[in-house]
Amino acid sequence: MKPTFDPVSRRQFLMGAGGVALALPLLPSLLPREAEAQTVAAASAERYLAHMTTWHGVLQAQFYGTLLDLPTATTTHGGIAVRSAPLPTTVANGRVTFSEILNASQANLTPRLLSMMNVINGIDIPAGPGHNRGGPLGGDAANPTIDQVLAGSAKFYPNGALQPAIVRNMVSLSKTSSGIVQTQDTADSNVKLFDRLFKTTTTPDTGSGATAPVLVDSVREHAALVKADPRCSADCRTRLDEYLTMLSEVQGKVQQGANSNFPRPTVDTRAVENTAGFYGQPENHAKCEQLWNDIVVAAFTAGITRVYVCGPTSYTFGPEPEHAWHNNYAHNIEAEASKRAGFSAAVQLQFESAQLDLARKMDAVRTADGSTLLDKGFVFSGHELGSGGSPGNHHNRCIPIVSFGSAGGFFKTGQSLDYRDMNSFTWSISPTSPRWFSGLTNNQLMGMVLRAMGLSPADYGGGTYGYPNVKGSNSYTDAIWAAAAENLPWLKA
Amino acid sequence: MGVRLAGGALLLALVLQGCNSDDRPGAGGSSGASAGGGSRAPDAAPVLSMPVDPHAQGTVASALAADTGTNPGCFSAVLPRRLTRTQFINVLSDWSATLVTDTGLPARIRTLVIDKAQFPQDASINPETTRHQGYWRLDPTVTTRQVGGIHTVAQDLAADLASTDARAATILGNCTGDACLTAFIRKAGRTLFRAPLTDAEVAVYRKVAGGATDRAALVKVLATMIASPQTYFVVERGNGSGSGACVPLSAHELATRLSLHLWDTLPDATLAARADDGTLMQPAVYQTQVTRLMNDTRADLALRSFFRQWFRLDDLVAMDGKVGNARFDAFATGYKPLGTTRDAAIDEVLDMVSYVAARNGSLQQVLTDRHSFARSADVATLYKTAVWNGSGTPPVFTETDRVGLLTRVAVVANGSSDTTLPISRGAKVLSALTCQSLPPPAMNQTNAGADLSGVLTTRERTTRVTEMEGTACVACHKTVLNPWGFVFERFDALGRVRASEIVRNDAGAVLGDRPLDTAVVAKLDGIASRAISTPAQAQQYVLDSGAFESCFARNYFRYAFGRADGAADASVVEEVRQQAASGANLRSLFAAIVTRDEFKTIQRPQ
Repeated sequence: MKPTFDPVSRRQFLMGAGGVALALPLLPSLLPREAEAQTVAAASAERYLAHMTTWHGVLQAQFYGTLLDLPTATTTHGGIAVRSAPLPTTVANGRVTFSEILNASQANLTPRLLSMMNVINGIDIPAGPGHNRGGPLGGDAANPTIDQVLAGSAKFYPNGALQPAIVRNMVSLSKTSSGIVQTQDTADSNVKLFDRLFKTTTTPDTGSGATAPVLVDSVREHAALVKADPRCSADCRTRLDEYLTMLSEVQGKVQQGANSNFPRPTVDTRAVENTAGFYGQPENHAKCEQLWNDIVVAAFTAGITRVYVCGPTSYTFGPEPEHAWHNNYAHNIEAEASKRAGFSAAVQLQFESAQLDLARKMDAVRTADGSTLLDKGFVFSGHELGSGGSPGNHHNRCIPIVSFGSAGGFFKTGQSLDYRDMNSFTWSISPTSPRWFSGLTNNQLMGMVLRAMGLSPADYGGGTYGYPNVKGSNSYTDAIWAAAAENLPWLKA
Repeated sequence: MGVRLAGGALLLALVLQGCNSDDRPGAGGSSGASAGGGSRAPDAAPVLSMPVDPHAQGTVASALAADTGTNPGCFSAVLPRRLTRTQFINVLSDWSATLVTDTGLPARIRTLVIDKAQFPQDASINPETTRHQGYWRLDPTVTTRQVGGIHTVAQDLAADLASTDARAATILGNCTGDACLTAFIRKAGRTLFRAPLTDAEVAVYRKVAGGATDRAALVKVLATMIASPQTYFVVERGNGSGSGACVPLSAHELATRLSLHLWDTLPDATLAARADDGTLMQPAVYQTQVTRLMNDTRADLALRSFFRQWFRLDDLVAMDGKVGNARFDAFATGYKPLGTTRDAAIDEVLDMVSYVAARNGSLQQVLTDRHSFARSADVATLYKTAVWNGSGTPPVFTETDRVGLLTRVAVVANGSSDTTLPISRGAKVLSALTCQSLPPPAMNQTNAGADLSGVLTTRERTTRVTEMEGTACVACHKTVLNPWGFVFERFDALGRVRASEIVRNDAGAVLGDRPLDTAVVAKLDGIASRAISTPAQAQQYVLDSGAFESCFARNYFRYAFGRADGAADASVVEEVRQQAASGANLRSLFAAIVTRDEFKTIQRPQ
């Protein structure tokens, strides 16, 4: 069924908190001031998902720092003892600091944002793929990532969406007739993303004033002739049918018209990336992410999409491009203090300047029901690997995860959650290196996130083992798998 | 700068990558139903297997390959192929040129497709792993990005072509009426769809025009034609009948396959005429056309494209990404790479290929040629040669260690780094250039930390990290991967020859000047290990192993057929290998595959 989505009616009423003008570089001038004819109920039901992947892994102490030593409440879940504690709210020297990585200025990590934050330890990608694409988002060789599950969900998008998901970099996996494939990036730059979403380019003069020179019905007629040939195989017909379906949808979206109230960005991320010395300028890496965030939040606000997933491209928030970064930093965090410090600084930069930046911008947009995009959103991050170090363990246990937002009250926030099984396998250690444990499964968290977005287990494959609904290997007990369909302890409000 | 590393060659490729595992049977126990929505995924791009990380603990899906069923030697695509982005641009440009004379149109089409329509670049598919580059031709995916791009291109290009009433009239043939309209539809459609239109197809476009021949009608016909699946897809049905049968391609299908492979575009008028009159099916005529196509400059572009992708030249990141960094600037010692240096270095390799091909050189000469094809001072400076003006005999490398392909800047430099990446270099030789099968690693569980104290060379650091006794990494890194990086340590991260390694701190201050140790025991499949210590010895070992030719054969097969090679393809791959090993010249190598029956036939699905 063709979507009935009408972007014009999806604009949302914006005001700053308390009537104060929004202190955002782009949004105040972007957003329309007139109220939108959207029902409060519809606005309240909408959920927003954003995820940022960080490549490589880290040492526990680097990421969790003082959170590892908090006095905790305990319970048993999946047969293992797990722990939780409120996130400390202490501010020192103008900063909120949990660890080398999890720290930010008080101006950014405000009390409100802190109250909406969770830090999660002890979530494993049980298939143990090592370096991977899409693992933190639940994707694997047979299952798409959750952004694509949502993008294709009629329950999540009952009226369809102009852009079901914005995807940047190799973090997303889609299911197609070719199998599980890597999702193409939505655009190559922030400006191109803007042009795609907001259709600021003009329609060419075709000499007649008529619209739609591409007659999709005629394309379909021509395709029918091809398909009618008995030599056109089943694969051939499937391919043509998929093409025609997409062409019809594209045509339909073109005819819906453009929302041109948002000004086009004046700084192009591609231009920033192309400047000499870019790889050695982490502050410009952060700038690029913030430029992308502006467009994403504008798209959220305009109702164009409600899903955004990303990872950095060839830049690293550190002083090296990716290959050298991997060699000189990611695998030297145990052996060299300076490299550990440099790695921590890079991940901290991504945390504060990218993830927290996005959360803040979403929290500055108030929707028709009076809540903010962040109130109804879940902005979380996950590492590709659980560990780092030299030579490097490359395991996927204890993926560092940080989240902002409660997804409309689904999640309880303001917590440090530790799901590690402190009695689980222990690796050979050196006296100065931390031990590695296993925990609960990322399948369980992914299932919870999908439910927070309004899906039921039947919408994502049954959910017996969470999402993906696969009982993987790697030494997880039946009890842990049995718990995978449940909510994680303390995380559900 | 800002290179988007394509496909699997991105990010995380290397350091301790060690050992790409081959596809293995899936692990994992029971599974519930998998989710995933419908069969089409918006903006989905393909990988033919799950990431095969050398440190992967999980398993991967098998790469897709053609099902050759009971007809070995007769191949079919898993899915009907579609044009690559390059081919789409070329097809539209060449088609437009048959309609109207406008020298600026090709550039506008390119801008339209890439910038305005944001037509995505094809994914670079490597059937064995997503972590390394492969070929754009292996990307079968069609997503809303391509379709949206086609739609935008269709309406904009049609409007551009018929931008004025006068132009529209010219395209139509300066006539009006039914016969005029029909003739135009047949002419335009014949070229764009690569085959004559049936009466039924003509009727479709007459209906689009509404019987009119004005500008508006023309725009609709042109736009609808561009959006037709017959433009973007390469639908091959073959002649004859029979389920599972191996049948010859029709003359038009053969012409299309030939021109797309050798020229990345649609057949020109001469080739189209040979298809129309059926003589293309005659071996002598076919051979004449193959020779003609191979002698055209467009064949050189396709040749360059193949080698660019086989050699994974796009692995090279921007060379100027660390300019201004104290440590890098100190390392560079007065040399300043430009924003264009990376592309210039890549072109230098491809110019070498073109030069060798034009002089009927062999594949081996691609490996061993010692001319510098640097056309700009930035790369020429790295080579310590004069700039080549693009014609005449290029200067020859004067440095003994600069022995050929393995030591060209685009292959040996690391881009935006002041330290070499020997594991990356080793992976380039093993994974890209010699198609070595690397053993899968196990997850390291020692949790030991390397001792990196002291002023260490890159080799020493790498050894201490990756060859620690008792770790799971040592077996592969020590005996397989690292040697192929260490032997090239005489080249710094910019690809310059050096006599020693100056170790610096992050401020650029010198910590020590250490001698280089390039002695290794290297290993390639099928030949005994060999102690080598110079690039010349490394190159000779590669030549002696025959692995370069074998790797060419596998890669060229994939490039030619647009799919992974399977077990049933072994005989074809072997024959290509033998031709390459015999020293056949590049052009004949390139052309040989198109004269094979496998190239001229298609298997009907069961």
